Amino acid sequence: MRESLDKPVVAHGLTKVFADFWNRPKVRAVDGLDLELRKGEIFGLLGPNGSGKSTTIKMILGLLHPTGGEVEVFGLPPANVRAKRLTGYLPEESYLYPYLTPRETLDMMGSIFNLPSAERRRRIEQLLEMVGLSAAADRPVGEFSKGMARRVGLAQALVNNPSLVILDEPTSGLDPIACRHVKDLTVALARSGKTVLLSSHLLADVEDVCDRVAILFNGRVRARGTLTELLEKRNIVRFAVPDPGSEALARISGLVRELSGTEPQIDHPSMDLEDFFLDVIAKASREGETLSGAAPTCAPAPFLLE
Amino acid sequence: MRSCAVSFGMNNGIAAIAVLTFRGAWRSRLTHCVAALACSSILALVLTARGDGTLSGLLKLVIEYSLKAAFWILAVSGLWAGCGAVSEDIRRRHIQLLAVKPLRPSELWLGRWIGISAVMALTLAVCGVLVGAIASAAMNSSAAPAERKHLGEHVLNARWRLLPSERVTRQDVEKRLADLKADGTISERASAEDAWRYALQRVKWERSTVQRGESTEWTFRVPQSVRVPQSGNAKAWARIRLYSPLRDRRETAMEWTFAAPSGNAGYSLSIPPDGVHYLDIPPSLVKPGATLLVRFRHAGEAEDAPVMFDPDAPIEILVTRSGFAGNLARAVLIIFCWLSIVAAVGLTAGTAFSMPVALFVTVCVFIIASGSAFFTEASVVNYAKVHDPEKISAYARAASWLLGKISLLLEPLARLDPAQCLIDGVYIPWSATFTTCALILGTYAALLFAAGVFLLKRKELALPE
Amino acid sequence: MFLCRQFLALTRLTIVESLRQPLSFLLSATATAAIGLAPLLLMHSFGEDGKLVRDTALAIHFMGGLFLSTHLAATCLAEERRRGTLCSVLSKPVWPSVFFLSKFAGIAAVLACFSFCATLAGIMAERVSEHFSTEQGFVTDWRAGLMLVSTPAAAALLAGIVNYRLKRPFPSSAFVLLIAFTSLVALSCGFFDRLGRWHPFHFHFHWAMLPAEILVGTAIATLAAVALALSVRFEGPATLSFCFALLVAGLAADHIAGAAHSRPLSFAIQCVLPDWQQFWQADRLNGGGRIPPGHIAGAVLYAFCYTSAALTAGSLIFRNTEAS
Repeated sequence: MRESLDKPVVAHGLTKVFADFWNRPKVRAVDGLDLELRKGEIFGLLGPNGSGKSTTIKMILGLLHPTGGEVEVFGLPPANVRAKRLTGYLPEESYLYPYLTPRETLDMMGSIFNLPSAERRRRIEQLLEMVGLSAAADRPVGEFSKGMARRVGLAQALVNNPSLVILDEPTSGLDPIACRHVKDLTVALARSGKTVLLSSHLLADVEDVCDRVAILFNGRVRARGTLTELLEKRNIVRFAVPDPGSEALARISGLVRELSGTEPQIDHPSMDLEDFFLDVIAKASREGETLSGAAPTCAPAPFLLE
Repeated sequence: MRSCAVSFGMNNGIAAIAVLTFRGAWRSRLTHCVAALACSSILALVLTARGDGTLSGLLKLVIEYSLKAAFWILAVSGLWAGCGAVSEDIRRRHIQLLAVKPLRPSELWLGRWIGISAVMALTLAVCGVLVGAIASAAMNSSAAPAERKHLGEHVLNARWRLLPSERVTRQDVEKRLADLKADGTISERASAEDAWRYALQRVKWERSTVQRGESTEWTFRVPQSVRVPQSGNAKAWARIRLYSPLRDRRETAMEWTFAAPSGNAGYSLSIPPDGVHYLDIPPSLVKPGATLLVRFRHAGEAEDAPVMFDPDAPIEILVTRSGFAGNLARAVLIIFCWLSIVAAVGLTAGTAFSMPVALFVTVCVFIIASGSAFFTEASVVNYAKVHDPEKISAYARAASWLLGKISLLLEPLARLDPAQCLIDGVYIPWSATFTTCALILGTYAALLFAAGVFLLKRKELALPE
Repeated sequence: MFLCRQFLALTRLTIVESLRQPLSFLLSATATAAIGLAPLLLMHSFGEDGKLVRDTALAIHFMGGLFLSTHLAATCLAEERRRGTLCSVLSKPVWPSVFFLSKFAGIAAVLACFSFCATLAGIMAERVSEHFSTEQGFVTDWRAGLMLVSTPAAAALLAGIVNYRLKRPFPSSAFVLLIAFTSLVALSCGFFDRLGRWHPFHFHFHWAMLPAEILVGTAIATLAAVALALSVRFEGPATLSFCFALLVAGLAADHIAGAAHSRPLSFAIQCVLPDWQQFWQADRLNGGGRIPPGHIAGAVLYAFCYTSAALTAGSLIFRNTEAS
């Protein structure tokens, strides 16, 4: 069986029913899900808690066995070692070994991928710098905060320069700056030809980066498509102009009222909180203030964009 | 550490998991406590043991119990580590990071097993070095020269052991059994198994008893592999085990003759007819491929009782082969293989069950396995056989049969007792060492490995708690 | 009243948690089955009917209880800390001492049930074992033995049915049913004698075993208190190791105290090391003997004092330990 790099993930009728000891169905977590990821896209799996996002991801990774349907990763069964070579996974919790340092964790993960030691070292340094943990690289992960551990988790997911990156709640536990950087990283990964499957219940995260999304509820896909297809209100047109003054505004309102027969809605657009937050932090950084804990993360590691 | 592992031929996945396991154990305070406990128990034994008043007796006690203490401490900790290795990984979800990597279930299991075995090997090696140091200190102690000489020749030594080629044959036992049944000594209602055992014992005892004025002889066929060192340090002994039910300490006159193609030697001596005695014989009598004939004559007086030899090991010919250090290393290697099996059992159980349940199951398995021989002997089946064979229930028979089979399954593991060989000063051949290790690792460990991988493949690793 | 209600609520929670661990049922069932099978071993020891079975039953009760007590005590606090529920409970208006003591109370309740089951099994095993009857010679009460050995399997079977029909957790149902069935079997033994003849309300039990079993149960509770106190600072394996070392040292407490060079040191050793020999009185039952009530009272008082000291120390350490 040969891998097919053009089809990162293909799932037909994927179903997962958790059963009790007597094999009686308890919970139908995923119900007849069809999914097809395209190469180089960022696909978002959205849904409230308990909608089946993580279960779907775990079936794609071979951590759970589907009750029904089938799934292939690069044309191979999920449990196939060749499929795993091309995949990187960040779980919803970091699940790292507390007695290992970030450097040791990445070294161990890298060695499983058969990376030569020189290449492994290069990648580890780049990843540590990317996630802002170069200074804490030799501290046991057990001493880290949740956000710092999450960064290590992100780094280990990318150590093999995967073609398919699966991120389950990637921004959970991260501060807004780190969230921004993760989103930028996600976009950069997609631009370099990688496919990203992103699972989140934070709508803002998904809206910022995803090309296509699927909204899950009760284990079923309720809506699917690009963000533009799903969110555009085609029956409403919005003009954005610099403030024309009250007189010009009244004339424009009158014209619209005359032509359309409806009262136009006029207001000032506002920034979202994240952009405002980042502006404030950027200003503070320019004034020379420093952060304790994790250092601000940098651009994506160069090897990921090769 | 990882490159070291890879250089041993392990693939990267196995090496990575092995190093991960070793690191986790190395950084655990519990591992340090276990190692300290093993070493301190050896030292405590040296400080508190009394022995039989002789230096050899004391050192035999120290060696035997040190190795047993190290084995049991490491076995318990190895079992604990094995049961927790995979089960705790699953419970704490660490396995979700490993299972999505290109790692086969077999590599995961093997890596864990090698890592745990490496930790045990290191601790066991330290214990072995301690035992060696204690032995060396005993040899250089201020004890009487005769005691140190005895210690050096008969304990801290590795000698070829040759046993007589005379064996009790099936025909001998059948003939004796028929005689005993004919004269009514064995009841017709006795079970076939018990009757056979009784007849065999009778034949052995009759052969090992020599009346006054009578003789007996034994033939030793020296294997080709026996190479007596050419240096002047080569020595040979005949180890004679005598048994006296009266604990008779009165010396009895004996005549011994050793005849070989390369020469003869004769001895007349008077020794108590009880206990273990050593007779120095010329090493030139022991030639590879040759036959050594040993003749004994009871030259005692009228009031002397018959001389009774130990029926299972009446006489042994011991020849110098090598030193204690090499023998100790081979003994430690065999003990390490046993410990690896224990870890493998724990690892396989931990793949199927949660850690406490896996520990419970494995402890029960070990209790049943190690006590199977005792339970079979002590069970109502054997009791009822003596009193009323018809009262044995089907349940008791089935249980006795099962326990007997378990005992049989585990017999190869216990065939070679390295601690006993060490304290007897008997050479553990490399061939026997490798055969035992290959049997243990190639059969038992391989079966456990197959079972563990089978269970791991079928297990869903990300089920909710 | 409020404290009482808190204490009871937390104790109930601990009991539920402990019963839901598979090991509670496994150890109880194994102990019951092993005690029930003990009469299959050679019974006679120089004419003393049932001695070997009595000793074996008490030993199994002791060892099984020790493992169960150390496991429950070592894991209950550690698990709460790991899961984070310790933080969420202590962030409520709960006294740390009340929380700590309720943990002990819950574990002690489960151990009491285990001891009850093992006691009944031991007394019945002694009845099952071969005794000399003037009418028929040596007789085994195989009916009682069969019922006793079947109780774990029956409890597991019924618990499986309860789990299937009512969806109740299997381990806790099985534990409760095991106690119920063992009690039922013990009661039913009161209606026929060793030879299988109808003889209502005559139990033919060796009641003198009861104080010996109670003493063993007390020892188990004492060790649970020590394990719980240690688990405040140490993880599970370390706690179990310390408890094992304490067990071995306690068995040799007399010898160690005697080897001390000074009286204050000897006294200190006797105070710190629990003297387990106080609780092992199986030999007094030989030849129809009984354990004097005075010794029982003394041993129970000793256990009470030692347990109180361990719990006090543990409670004080717990108050000063960070929950996270």
